[in-house]
Amino acid sequence: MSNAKNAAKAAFEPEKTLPADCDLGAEAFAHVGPDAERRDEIVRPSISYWRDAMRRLMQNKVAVACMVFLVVLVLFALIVPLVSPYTMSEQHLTHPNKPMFFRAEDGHLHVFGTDDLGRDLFMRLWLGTRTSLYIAVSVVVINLLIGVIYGALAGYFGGWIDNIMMRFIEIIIGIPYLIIVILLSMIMKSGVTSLIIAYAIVGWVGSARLTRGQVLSLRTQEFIIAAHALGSSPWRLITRHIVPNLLSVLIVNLTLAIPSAIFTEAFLSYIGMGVPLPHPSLGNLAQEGTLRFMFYPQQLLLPAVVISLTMLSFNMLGDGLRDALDPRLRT
Amino acid sequence: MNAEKLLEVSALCKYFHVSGGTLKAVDDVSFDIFRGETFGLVGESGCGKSTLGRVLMGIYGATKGKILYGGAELNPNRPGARFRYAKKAQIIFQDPYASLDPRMTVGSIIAEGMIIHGMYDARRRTERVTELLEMVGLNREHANRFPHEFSGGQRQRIGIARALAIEPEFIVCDEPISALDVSIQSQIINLLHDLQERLNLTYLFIAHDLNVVKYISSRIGVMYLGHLVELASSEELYARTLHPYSNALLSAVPIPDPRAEREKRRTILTGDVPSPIHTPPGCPFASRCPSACGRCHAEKPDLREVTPGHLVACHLT
Ligand SMILES: Nc1ncnc2c1ncn2[C@@H]1O[C@H](COP(=O)(O)OP(=O)(O)O)[C@@H](O)[C@H]1O
Ligand code: SF4
Ligand SMILES: [Mg+2]
Repeated sequence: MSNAKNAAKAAFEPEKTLPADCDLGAEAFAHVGPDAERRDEIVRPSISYWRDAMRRLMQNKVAVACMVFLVVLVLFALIVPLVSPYTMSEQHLTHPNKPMFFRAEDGHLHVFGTDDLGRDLFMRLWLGTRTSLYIAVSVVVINLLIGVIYGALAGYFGGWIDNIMMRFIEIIIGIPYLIIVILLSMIMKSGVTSLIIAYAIVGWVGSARLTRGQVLSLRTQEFIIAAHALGSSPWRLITRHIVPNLLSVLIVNLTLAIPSAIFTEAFLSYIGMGVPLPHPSLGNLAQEGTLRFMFYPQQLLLPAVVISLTMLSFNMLGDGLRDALDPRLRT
Repeated sequence: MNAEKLLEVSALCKYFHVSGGTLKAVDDVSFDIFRGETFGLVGESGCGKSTLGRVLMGIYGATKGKILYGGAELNPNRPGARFRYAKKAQIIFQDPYASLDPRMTVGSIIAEGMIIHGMYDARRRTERVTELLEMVGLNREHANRFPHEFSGGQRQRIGIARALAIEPEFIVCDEPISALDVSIQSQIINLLHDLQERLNLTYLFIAHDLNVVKYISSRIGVMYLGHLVELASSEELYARTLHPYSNALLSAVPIPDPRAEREKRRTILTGDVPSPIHTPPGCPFASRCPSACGRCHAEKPDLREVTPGHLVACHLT
């Protein structure tokens, strides 16, 4: 190591340049690359595309950290409400608005303190996280299912069918999401289900457009025609060529759509159009927190931090997936 | 060259239904391809060469006309026919970047055809992939890489290996060198030439300039606006060009002698190519032909045999 450094340094010292009569003929240059006998050793192990993508994802420290964080978050959201000694609406009026790690005289420990009705915030926060994640994931999965089927049909058939299907999407895009939520809350009991339905009515258009574009361009790609020319059955064509090329785009899209769904839920609950109280969600917890932010900042900061970190993790995981699934970025 | 007909094409048409009407990409084309020869197909871009190649491959069904392959009629709509035909006829594409699945390793790209046709067991297939890679001038380390790690010329070699993997006898080379650097073009041409001799292949070699085709083809067909306008052996076409369009194509080929090049009479075409949706009633070339007369605009010339083996579609000859 230090030898190499010295050599590099020496090369830059003017007094140590090569003598003028130094003659370097062709014989002075020898091929020092790996020789033919060693070829077998340097052959990269044979791996499939998905294994290779997985390997590259695991090499990405940020993405792995995000995955670990999200797994921990999900576990907390699933387990804490089950094992907590409190229920979501159990009020302890003797000790409202208490700070974090508050232990009441009757022995109750409130890890994240209590709110103004003396409800345990630790329980409410994780139950809220569960609600928000549930809404976000179901919304995204429903949107993706509708969108992929719709978009794939439009892209596959093309022509006038595609034309009509796309005009329909443009109409839907023209309707503001809030109006649908408000209209739906008039005919349905407001709650988690109506929130998911409202979002699903408008939310699928993004993945439909994405899928249509992908299918349309894949259909005429020469590698698809080449596979067809080789005698591939439609089934093989779809599963081996179209789906892998489509799936990687959709996986990234799914990961990036979750944080925006979380944010939408939080926003709607914040303005009172979302999950009805007393059921907690990250949005209405933050909304309650703002009311008392001046005196008990942790009541706002805790849900805000969970929202931010969750969104950030999904976004960075999405970026990591995009890099891992694109063989052109392979290192 | 023996004169066994491998492929007989008669009155072949391929129309596409597009929003503006019917697009006649290939219109009433007839010719034969003999076993072991290279049939060159030239014409400017958009004249229907790729479409013709793909119809011959059975990728597109013909709108009208007949294709006989080895004496048997090719009908890609019959179940299983397309699959059996794929084993005999393969295609090499123009764009070496778009023609390889970016998410498959080179090894699996080459092995795919063998898997589809149930050729060999897994171990023998791996050996075959190595053999094929070496046959096209790559080596075994390349099998586990992804296409984007290669240059255009190397990718084209991978495409050739994929086509050869299922041991076809007929290969459509759809402008295999148009997207490559000039320095690489001759390497690929030489490779195709060597492979033809080793494996006794028949080629339909598509190009948009005559220069490339001259070197490799035994016979040449010139296409214009979906029509075959001239067909002759390579030497005959250069020695006695009859169709004004072939003349214009030939005059665009540079002569490697500066004096001759300077004195050469160049035919520079003016006018527009008619839309293949609204084809003119007369000769398709009439709008640009320097020798067009009244008859040319009214009446479509048929492809006639002028001298043995030399066919041309022009009223002047
Ligand atoms: N799948 C298709 N659908 C509609 N039109 C097509 C299709 N493929 C080719 N065409 C049209 O057919 C004509 C011939 O195209 P092509 O065979 O690709 O020409 P070339 O290979 O000679 O450049 C063009 O006008 C092109 O726009
Ligand atoms: S038929 Fe007439 S227009 Fe057509 S190529 Fe001959 S001379 Fe030109
Ligand atoms: Mg073409």
